[in-house]
Amino acid sequence: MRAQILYRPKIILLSLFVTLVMTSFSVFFLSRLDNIVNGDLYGYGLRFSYEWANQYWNYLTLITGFLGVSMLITCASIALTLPQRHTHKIGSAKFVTSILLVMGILMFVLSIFLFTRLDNIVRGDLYGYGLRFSYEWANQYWNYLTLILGFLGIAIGMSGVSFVLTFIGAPIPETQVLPSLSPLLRINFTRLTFYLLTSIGAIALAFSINYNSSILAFIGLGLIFWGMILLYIKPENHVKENLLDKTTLPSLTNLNQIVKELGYKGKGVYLSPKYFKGFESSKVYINTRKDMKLPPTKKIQDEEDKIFIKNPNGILITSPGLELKRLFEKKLGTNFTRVNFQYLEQNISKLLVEDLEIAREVEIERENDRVFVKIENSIYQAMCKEAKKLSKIHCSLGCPLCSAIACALAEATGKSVVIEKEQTSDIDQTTKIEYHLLEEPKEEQTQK
Amino acid sequence: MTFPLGFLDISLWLAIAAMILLVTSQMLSPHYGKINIQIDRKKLKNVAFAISILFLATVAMRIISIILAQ
Repeated sequence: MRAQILYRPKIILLSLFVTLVMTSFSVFFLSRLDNIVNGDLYGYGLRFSYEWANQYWNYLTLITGFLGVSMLITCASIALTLPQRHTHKIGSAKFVTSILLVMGILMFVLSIFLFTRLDNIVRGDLYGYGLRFSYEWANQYWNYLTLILGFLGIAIGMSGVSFVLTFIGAPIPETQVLPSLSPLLRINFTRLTFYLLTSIGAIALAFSINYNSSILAFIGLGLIFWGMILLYIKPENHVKENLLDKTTLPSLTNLNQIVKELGYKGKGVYLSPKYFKGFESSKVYINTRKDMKLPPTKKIQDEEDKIFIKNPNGILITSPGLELKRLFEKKLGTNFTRVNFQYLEQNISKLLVEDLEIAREVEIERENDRVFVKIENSIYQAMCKEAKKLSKIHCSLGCPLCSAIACALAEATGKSVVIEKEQTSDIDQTTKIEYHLLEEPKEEQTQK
Repeated sequence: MTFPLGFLDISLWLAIAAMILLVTSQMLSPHYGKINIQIDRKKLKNVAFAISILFLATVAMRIISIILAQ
């Protein structure tokens, strides 16, 4: 199968941006080179004469002019490509951009040609006007000369890449999604930027050592540093807050409907780990009657994998916050069954605020068998508010965050937990939850 | 062929980089950021602290060298 070059506006934009930066560097180093010729060389016996000066100035003006025009052309190309970065359609801008890019490349080539002529004046003609050779000025001059030519070379290369992608690049078909592209053409923008920044930075550093230029060393260090930073600070995938609500609420609504239609009237009881064989399960028991009487431990242990429990009739469901509780444990590097309430009290605020960034502030307080949790500005605020409309979820199973905390409490305290109250306030963006730690019934009493 | 930057240059570079990173990590909003450029604030803050510590280390080294030279 023949490999097809696709139209990639982001790569084109990046190439054009690099071209612009390289051209700016060339103009900067050209001015430094001009300072040597128009200043330092007079200290090495050079006599001023319009004969060489006119020719030199002409070339310099032309080079500066060409570089200025090519910068404008690059800017225009960026402006034409920018609207296509999301659509990936070339449209009518294709030919205009291609022509502009060809003109830009021509400008660069002409600049290099004129630059060699200018170099001939300095390295040839000026000796006829009293200039004495010295490595002091020559080394600096050669450094700037090489840098300018190097930067212009990179600029031509980058413009060439942009031209090829613009002119030959085929538009991505509507139906074609990025993952189906061949691995060679699947380019990660962040990774590409990292490679580009670090490689340019490394080249600049190498040049800086070779030519003893502190400016280049700073540029190189900066580019490598930002390239590394860009790769390091790339986060795990973040999703928008409203997506969280939209994807979780239907499951909660379904759960609410099922519990309601099956006629389970009791409150959800987050069972303590002793009810399970592996101590890893986190399940909620809902009784058919309104009371919170729990079946014997042995019975739940035996029927741990079942949903419906008989005698007393009830339902045993996985808590909505189980996975979130597991994430808490993973972040804390422990299991809640191994810690006590004090540990939870000391760590939950840091966990939710700093580690997971799901709330702005968390307060937890215990009064005998009651635990009060106040969560400020949580990402689950809207969901908790929506869950209020679901009678079997609100104040019973709770929203995923309330549920996860209930699971953690049940495991850390070793007591079964019930969500007594759950209040959300839009004014101060807080969610207040009151948990009730149930006294574990004696086996003899429960078995009767 | 020597590296053109001296100890003080590196120290200055570290100071500027640390300041930029610290200010950026504090000012970044996780909610209203540009979606295409995703940044983990915590990691950025860690880098900022690391660079700040490096800068302070260079300052400490400078102070020690001044004291020892007297």
